[in-house]
Amino acid sequence: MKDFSTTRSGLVLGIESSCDETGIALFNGRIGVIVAESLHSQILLHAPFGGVVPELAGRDHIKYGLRLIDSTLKSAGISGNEIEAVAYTQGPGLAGALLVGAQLAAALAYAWGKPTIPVHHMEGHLLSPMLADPAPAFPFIALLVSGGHTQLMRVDGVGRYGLLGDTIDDAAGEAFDKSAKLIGLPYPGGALLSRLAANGEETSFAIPRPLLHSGDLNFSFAGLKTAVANEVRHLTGTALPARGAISAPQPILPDDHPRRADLAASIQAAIVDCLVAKSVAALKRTGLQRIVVAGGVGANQKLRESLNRAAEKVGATVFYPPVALCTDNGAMIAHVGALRFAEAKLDYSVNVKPRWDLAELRAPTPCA
Amino acid sequence: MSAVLAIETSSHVGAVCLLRDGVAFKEIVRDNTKLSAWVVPAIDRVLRSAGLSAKALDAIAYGTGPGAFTGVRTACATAQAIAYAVNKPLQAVNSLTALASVFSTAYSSYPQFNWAKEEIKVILDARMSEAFTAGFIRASDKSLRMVSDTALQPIDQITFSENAAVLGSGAVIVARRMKLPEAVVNAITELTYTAENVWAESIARIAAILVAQGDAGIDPLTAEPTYVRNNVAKTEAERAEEARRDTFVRSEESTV
Repeated sequence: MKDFSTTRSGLVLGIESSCDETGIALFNGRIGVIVAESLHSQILLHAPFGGVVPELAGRDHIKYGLRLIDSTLKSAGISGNEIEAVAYTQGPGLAGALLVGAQLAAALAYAWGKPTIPVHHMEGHLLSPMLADPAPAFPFIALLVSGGHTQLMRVDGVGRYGLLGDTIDDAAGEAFDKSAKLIGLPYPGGALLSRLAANGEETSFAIPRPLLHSGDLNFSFAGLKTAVANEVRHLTGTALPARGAISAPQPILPDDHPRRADLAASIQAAIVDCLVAKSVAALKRTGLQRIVVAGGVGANQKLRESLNRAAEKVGATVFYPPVALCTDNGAMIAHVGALRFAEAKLDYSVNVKPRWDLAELRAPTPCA
Repeated sequence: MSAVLAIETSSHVGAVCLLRDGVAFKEIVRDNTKLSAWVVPAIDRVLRSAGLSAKALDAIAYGTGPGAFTGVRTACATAQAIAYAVNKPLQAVNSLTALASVFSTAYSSYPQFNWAKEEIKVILDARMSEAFTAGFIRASDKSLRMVSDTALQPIDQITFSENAAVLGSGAVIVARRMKLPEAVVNAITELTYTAENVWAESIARIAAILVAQGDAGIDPLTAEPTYVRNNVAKTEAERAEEARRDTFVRSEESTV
């Protein structure tokens, strides 16, 4: 299935800078192995702002980008001349953040005399389970769950993707992070919420499962967030804002509140239920027997347990990327670069695509 | 032989220049060109026109800004990556200093200006009603020395006399606001245009001098642009404090 035969040394450098992680990796496409990788996360930088500040993201990417490239190459003992191509995230993502990685990629490749391969960030996530052992065979269903995406795709091969379902409002990761904020966890609180949920009772609060019985494969998480906000108001004894009030501060649950873990567990169960139910429905609808989970939320233990159990019932197998590849990273970009090596071009004109639909991708074809 | 490549993309002007043994091979674009799409292919064209490859360069230089945030990163990322890839020295040159160097030659039309005492001012439009400024003194050997460091100022508060040696997109705005004679506005506009046309060339010449003096330049791995404007977002604590103050002021108003 992995056909990297068109590459020679097979070494592809991958550069990821679409949001708040600078990820660099060297992937050997000839033998399908990550040779070296480095990652710099900006979580601490953005935490005081309660979200990613695009300009600060761009500044941090340029501060660390070339240093990480250098340390990745050095740790592999590889010089730039031995690389076959430079792959970089072209989109989707924050324009100013994407530009830094793309510009470094283009200028390095130009000076080394190597081709570039622009890569779709979500295709990186989508195909990252192929780096696990065992790897899934095509065709399969992919559940893409991150802070920016919640999609179910049918995957028939590299670049052959059909959208089955999508969120109509917030992404699942966004629902985790926003709910976490309401129960008093620091940004980005999704992972902290999961940890807290381990000590709670998930049936304590009636958090809605939007669109659970909609009959399609779409998701909705905005209403869930409102329900959490109302529970927090109730628990803190805060009245709803008066009619006609322009705004009223949303109360935050104090961190010593006795029901905090129960609420966290109930929130997590609601989100996971929606993801699992639609995933199983997608398997049934397509008759496929393999499903891969990719994106940051794929690291969630509760999701993994529930999905494994539900998939087993319908005779399907679930595949996950290695945990280290659930966050944004350079390896998934270098990996797609190797898979799309036939598209490598001596093209150094940078045109990032902050918005870019995965369904626009096609199977790799050699360039004319 | 000496070959220095310079890259400048801090504003609406994109400029690259290869200075080979004193001869400039250059390309410049203006207005709505996406400079990230343009810059590396433009470098390739000027190198080809001189029959050189990137490996043949002796040094790479970039205009550090200040200027448009994305633009200053475009030049920095491009220059640091090329310098790293071909293992050649990297020189960081302040974009305002490079622009000011047009006064090394264009000074005869300022008969009333006291070059030894008065500052040459470079004023760039920084949007949001602000300007990036820097001041220079021109020595008798025509060299420029920065005496007022790069700063961010409210553009409404900047003034200068009609005989002053000033240039830059912001200087044009100030001259219009001050209702200086049309001839003065035109002269500043023209000088700015001239300076922009040789922006990358000026960076290359400044870098070439540094290289000739044995300056090793900066480490490509730690190269960064010059931002000057650093207050780009408010923390949650700052927003909460503002909201509290705002509520306080409003409740005071309502009691009046």
